[in-house]
Amino acid sequence: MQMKRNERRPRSRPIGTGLALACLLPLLSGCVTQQSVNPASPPLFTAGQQTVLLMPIDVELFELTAGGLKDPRADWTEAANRYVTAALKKENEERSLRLVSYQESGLSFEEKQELRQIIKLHQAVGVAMLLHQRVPALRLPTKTGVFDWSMGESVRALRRHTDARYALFVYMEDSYASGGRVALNIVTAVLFGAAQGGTQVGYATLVDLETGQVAWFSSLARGSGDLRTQEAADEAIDLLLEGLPTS
Amino acid sequence: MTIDRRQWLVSLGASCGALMLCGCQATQPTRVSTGHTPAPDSDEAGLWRLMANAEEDLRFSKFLVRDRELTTYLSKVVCRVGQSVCPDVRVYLTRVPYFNASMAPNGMMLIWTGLLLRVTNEAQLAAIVGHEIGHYLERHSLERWRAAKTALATSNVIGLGLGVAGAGALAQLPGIVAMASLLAYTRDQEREADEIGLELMTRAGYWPAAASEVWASLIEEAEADPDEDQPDIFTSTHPEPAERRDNLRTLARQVANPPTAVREQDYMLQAKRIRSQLLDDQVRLRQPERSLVVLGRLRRIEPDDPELKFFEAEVLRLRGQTSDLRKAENLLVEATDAGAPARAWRSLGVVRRKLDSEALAERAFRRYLELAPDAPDAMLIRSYLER
Repeated sequence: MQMKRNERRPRSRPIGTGLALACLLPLLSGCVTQQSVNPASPPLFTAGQQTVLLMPIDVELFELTAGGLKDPRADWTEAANRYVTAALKKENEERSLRLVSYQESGLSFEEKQELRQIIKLHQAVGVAMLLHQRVPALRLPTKTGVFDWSMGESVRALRRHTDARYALFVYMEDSYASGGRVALNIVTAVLFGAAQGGTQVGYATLVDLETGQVAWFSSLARGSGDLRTQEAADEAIDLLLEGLPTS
Repeated sequence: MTIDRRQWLVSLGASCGALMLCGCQATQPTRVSTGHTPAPDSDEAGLWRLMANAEEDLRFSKFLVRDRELTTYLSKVVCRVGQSVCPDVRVYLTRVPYFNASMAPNGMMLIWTGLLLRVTNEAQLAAIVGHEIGHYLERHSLERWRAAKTALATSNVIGLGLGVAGAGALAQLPGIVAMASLLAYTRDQEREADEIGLELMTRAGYWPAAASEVWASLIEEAEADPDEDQPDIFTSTHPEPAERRDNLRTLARQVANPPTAVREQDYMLQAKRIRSQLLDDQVRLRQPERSLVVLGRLRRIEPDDPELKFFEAEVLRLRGQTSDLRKAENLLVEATDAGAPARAWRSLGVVRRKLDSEALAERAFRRYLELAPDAPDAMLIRSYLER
């Protein structure tokens, strides 16, 4: 089942609060595959009007072992990095995104250190948005109204090295059931009627480099999808960027 | 009905056990060779990739000690001990005030600054480096990772079994047990690494008995600590420190014509480059008994060092028993006479105030302000003196 939703306020089935965080994302895959949010109307950002700095993509592929442990796969990850990069290039042309790549060459150690802190900051903020925005049970009391997240003004450091007004961060994580997992799934399915195979989780964040404000956030969580072929990666990135405000 | 279920579970458990055993034999990794790179589609390559990411983060970390001379020295010791492994190992000194060193499967070696404060010569350092190279050579992390995968697979099935039997909450237990097994190397792996380490350090010309000295030092420190509870998760996964000390001592005695290099001075000279920072970090842990053992060891080597006297006085001052304050005062008087850093005068002032020697305290504070007029707390001290 694939459903696309693109709306200001997320809707999904009620989820029990007692479940562990790790269980929540795979559960979501059953309801809303992709969801994107804007903090304002009209949107702060419109594709094609300003250049966007594409930050280093963060892609990890895992094999899900029988015990549910995620076994990192270097070969899949490296291939997926190429596929996602190519997919973003395609999107850049089709959606006139005016993407420019993040470059570290020519920067001093201290400058690199500062910029990498921004990348790490996004890892923290991105995960927080994913959990607290997508999962209604985890919605923060201070974030119940309009989508309002910020990375703070420290992101301005990027402005010193680029003309871009916005930065785009992309994170994708895929896991695929291994042989052992498939076998265990059958046992589980026989006993309990449900089994969890691999999942695809990802998000994209567009940040205003002047204010730190998150101008657009999109997330993907589903029990299907793949990044191991170019076609599948194209489909996933297309879905992830669905709902990016256009003029 | 229940019996049937149990029988089913038992047979399932047994078959899983058998599977696990096969798995262990089939996946037992062999010793790593020089210049090794894992096959791209292997679990080892996956682990290496994650480690490479962590290493890239570490290179930009604020916790990394970047003293070029000291890190070059550490790399030299690693090369002397590791020999053919040398080009595959990269050493990172990280600012963490506890005793530890670790080795990632991809050759990233971490040494914590707390370790540098607790070894007193190059031979002891070589013993630890040799031990870590032992883990690397035998690919122990990969072995652990594979064992964890197998353990979790089994625990998942056991968990399901308990779920069927109606023990809902208990069903979570096997996962927790399995995760605990992920935490550390096994005792057998530690023992194996100890043996390899001793062999490597001896081959590199170091006095083999230094290896057991490291453990003796750690035991001395733990015994001094009133908060040290035994047994804990550390000792359950590691062989008992005493066992390791004794084992290493026995192994060292078996070495025919043991080499004798200890290199205490070479080591101390290098460690001193960042020692005051390390001692500051140690004092801040507020573990006075442990700190006094560490400082006592260093002071046996350099009894007249004013910096060591100052830090010992700091530990005593912060513990703050009356007898501590008297001892601290004496140490600070000696340290300030011998040219300790300006802040020793401030400590002397604080100690004397606590001992109600106001006039002497004032003199010490005035001297502090003379020596460090722009110190961040100068205003505070001045206002105190003016009262």
